[in-house]
Amino acid sequence: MFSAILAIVRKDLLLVIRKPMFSIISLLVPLIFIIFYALVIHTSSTNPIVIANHSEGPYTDRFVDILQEIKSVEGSYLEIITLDSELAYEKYNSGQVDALLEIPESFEENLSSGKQTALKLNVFNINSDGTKNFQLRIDHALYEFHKNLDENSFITIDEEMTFSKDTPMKSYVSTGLLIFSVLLTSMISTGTLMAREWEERTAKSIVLTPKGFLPLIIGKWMTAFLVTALSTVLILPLLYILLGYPIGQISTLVWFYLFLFFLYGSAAGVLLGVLFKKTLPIVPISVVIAMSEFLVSSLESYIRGFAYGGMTEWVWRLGSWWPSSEIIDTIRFTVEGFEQIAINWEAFFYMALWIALLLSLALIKLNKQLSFTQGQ
Amino acid sequence: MISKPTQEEFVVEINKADLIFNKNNKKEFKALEALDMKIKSGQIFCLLGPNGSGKTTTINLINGLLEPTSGDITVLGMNPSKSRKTVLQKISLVPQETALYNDLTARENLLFHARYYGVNRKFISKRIDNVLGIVQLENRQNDRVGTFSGGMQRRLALARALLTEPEILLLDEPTLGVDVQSRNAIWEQIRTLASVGKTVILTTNYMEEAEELGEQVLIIDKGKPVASGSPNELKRHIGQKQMIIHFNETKYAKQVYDEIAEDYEVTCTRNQLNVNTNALNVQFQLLEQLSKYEEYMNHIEYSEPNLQDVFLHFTGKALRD
Amino acid sequence: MKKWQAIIAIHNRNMKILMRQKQMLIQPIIVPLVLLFLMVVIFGGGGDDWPVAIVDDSNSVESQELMEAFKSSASNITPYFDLIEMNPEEAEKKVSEGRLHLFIKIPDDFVESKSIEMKTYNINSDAMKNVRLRVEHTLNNYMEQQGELQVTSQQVTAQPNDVWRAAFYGGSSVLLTLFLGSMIIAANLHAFEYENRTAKEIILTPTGSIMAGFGIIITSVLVSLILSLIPLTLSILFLHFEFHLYNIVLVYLSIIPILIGCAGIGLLLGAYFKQYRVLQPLVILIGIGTYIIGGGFAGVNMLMPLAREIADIWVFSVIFEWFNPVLHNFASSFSFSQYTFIFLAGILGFLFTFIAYWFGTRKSIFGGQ
Repeated sequence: MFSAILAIVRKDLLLVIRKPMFSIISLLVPLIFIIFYALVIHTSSTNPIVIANHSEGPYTDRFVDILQEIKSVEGSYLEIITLDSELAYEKYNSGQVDALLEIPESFEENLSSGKQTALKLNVFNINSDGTKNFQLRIDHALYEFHKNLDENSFITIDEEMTFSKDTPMKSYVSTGLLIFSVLLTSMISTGTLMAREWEERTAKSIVLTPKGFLPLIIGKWMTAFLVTALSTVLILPLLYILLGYPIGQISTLVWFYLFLFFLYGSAAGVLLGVLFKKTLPIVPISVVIAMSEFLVSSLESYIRGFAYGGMTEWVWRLGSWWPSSEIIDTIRFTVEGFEQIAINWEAFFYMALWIALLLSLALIKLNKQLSFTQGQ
Repeated sequence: MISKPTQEEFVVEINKADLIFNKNNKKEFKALEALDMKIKSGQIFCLLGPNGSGKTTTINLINGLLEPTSGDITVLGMNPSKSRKTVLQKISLVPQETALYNDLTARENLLFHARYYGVNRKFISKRIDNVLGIVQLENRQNDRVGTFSGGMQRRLALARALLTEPEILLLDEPTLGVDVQSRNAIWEQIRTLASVGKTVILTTNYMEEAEELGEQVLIIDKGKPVASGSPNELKRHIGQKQMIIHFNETKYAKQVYDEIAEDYEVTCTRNQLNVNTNALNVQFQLLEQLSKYEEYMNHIEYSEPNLQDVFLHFTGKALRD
Repeated sequence: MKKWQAIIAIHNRNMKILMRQKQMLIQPIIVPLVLLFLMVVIFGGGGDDWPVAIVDDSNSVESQELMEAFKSSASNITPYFDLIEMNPEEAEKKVSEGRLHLFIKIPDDFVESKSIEMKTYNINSDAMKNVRLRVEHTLNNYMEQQGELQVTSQQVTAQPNDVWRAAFYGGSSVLLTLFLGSMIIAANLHAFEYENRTAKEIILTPTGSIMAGFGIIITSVLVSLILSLIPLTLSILFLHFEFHLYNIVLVYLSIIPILIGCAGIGLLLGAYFKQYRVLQPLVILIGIGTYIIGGGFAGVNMLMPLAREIADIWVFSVIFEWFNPVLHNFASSFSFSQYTFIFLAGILGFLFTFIAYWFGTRKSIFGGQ
């Protein structure tokens, strides 16, 4: 049995070395996905804006300072591309930036004399999300500005937080990205390794040995494990560099859970492989599954707070039932150092059940397939 | 224990096997019907039939991939689908599609198979050398299979089947799409294997192959066995010998035809008369009768039925899809 | 004449292949739709209303006014808050479970203390940005009403109505289907020749293999145009996508040369990589990557500096950056330089076809089988 497994692993690795292109691509997909995500996730924290400042004086200086300083744990709320009014108008009018804040000439004078001033926020409103984000950020700046202006009439906020600190969105998402990459790599590599035996019409010689197909599946898993381990090793530093993911906090428990997700991915991969017997549909289906796990399960604890009514609530309910989401939160809280949670037995049990189900379906399908192996 | 004698005599025994796909269903399809087969140890057994007649299905019955809907099958005294693992230790299949890894070399392919099959480590290398020798691929063992011709690939697949020293070899269309030289080499190798006591079961739709190799031939058509026996027996079965007399000109042939048509089973086509006759005395009698036409006659030849006639006789001449 | 016959024959064959090999069609349909579905669900396809619990313990005139301010504060498309809980115990529970991100309590001494209490489920900074900034926005509004806010902000938008975020995703998914579709269909159809070993038949026809390339281009462009109607219809029906007939016709006509360019690239990739399993992830990656970084997810202007620079180099980003404004009626035509570029993209598509087939013919040395 063991020698048969080893034979499969050796053969597959040899084939990978002979034709490495496909493996390289399946390694690159999650890497590139992470890079893409890192590039856009900024959009939710920092928005580029130009400022046309026509006013001068201490009030103006303070307000501009506030505009530059306002930030979340992730970084500045505003990326001020220019404070030069002429350049600001030029950039906004030529469509190089979507927002322009005008500080009128009367700003300083009005403040000194206690009169009200209105700032003008120009927005290219092609996406309501952007419009809202600019409005809220300028409001935040104004709120901060007024804090010290008139303490008597100012309304303060007294906040009590559930967690000791905000988890930066980048870090929050990183756990999901890590799971995404483990799932995707294991699913694609196991799936295509299986499907290739049919696609290249070599399955028969393996199935017709007295060893049967158990060593085949285990052998594929081992090769897929090597590939997945390699991709994880590449991805962790990337998450650290691009998204500030605290990889130093990864504990044994986290590694254990990552292994569980590897088993999930490769069980799904085996099923996809025997179901389709072609590599063609495996990649996109794997991408869809891994992507759904990322967007639904890994974001469940976020979506939970706004999933009321409509499709979002249904998707959230699905995600909250699914064992992945709880496990991912356990990993997240461990890595963020909130609490050292022991194994979540319930989620673990359901996940193990799910893996067993995928695998039994694959085995049933394999057995059925054998009895219809035709000549031509 | 099962009774010994029949077991030793017949390594494969199939009795009245039916195989029906999608039974009790609209798409019900009888793949095999009332199949009977008895194969002796050390024999070359040939399954002959047109495309889609159920040859590969029969092979899959023997290697246990399929189970008959009704009827029995025993391979080396065992039920192949129930004790598949044991049976598979003693039989090897060379599938139609060869099932080789194109990106591995010939040797690497064999190495993988030997390891996967669990051939004892100590013997692997020696045995690979040995089988490569049998199929004469020693010189190309380190080349990738993707660069091999169809014939070489089939020989390599045969070598792979031999790696595990099987008692029974199942060859599914072993010379499909192979050139004459390779074909002769493969035939030679099959004969050698039979001579050292291996049972060889092969499927083919080439008459020549069945005639050349088959000690026992079973013709199947549309899943039903239509005839069986040695090639000679089969020929004898339909077997009219023919005397063919060629005349100089058509008119003489016609003239003679009119003369003898009443007494003999004869047909006339242009300048040629075909007389069906097996008995020697009848032939002499006819020759005597014809001696007066000697100057109008070109030559006389005898024809024996070949397996093609047998095949067409049993399967009909209609074109198959 | 003969050449046209050959091209049409190839096109008809391609349509048959696509109808039978459904996996080839599934990708350009599924990828944009799944992306659209997930974006809408996760990043909020509805509006900007955030579920919240508010409890007023003060019951004063001031607190009621503040309450009104919470209820009336709104973005350009919807209210900012969705008040779903007013029971303090339930609110407390829901926030601690994370079922709500925000619980606002106006305390009984609100009039004197001028302070409100807030409990948050601070699962991540994005959620917190959204709830905290909304609260501040409301407080600003309230103070403004009370005449206590000295500086206010007044919004001036480029168009009278905001394009809903969901509609923006919808438009992007139409554009993604178009260019990803033409590229991947062309790549698949070209690879099909290799995977099925029919390339030789094409190469040996007297009309020449390049006609096969043109046939593939016709199929790819046509099919992707048809497929893009799926996300377009869905966007109009469910995603607040405003239908401007003139703009849509203009987009569909002007994008054809770009689609020819994309199909050309597909052929080139097909000729080089030959195998589906290498081609498909590559093309899908180009598609999704462009969607994310090239203005599909959010306009390039909204991205971080590095991403903006990459988008400037990444030529595919023009698909979203130029066509989205026209699609949503923020522009009524393309500029002369844009048209020139679009035209050149079409020419390049044909050039790529020549290269792909020249390359293919030179490289294909077939063995016996």
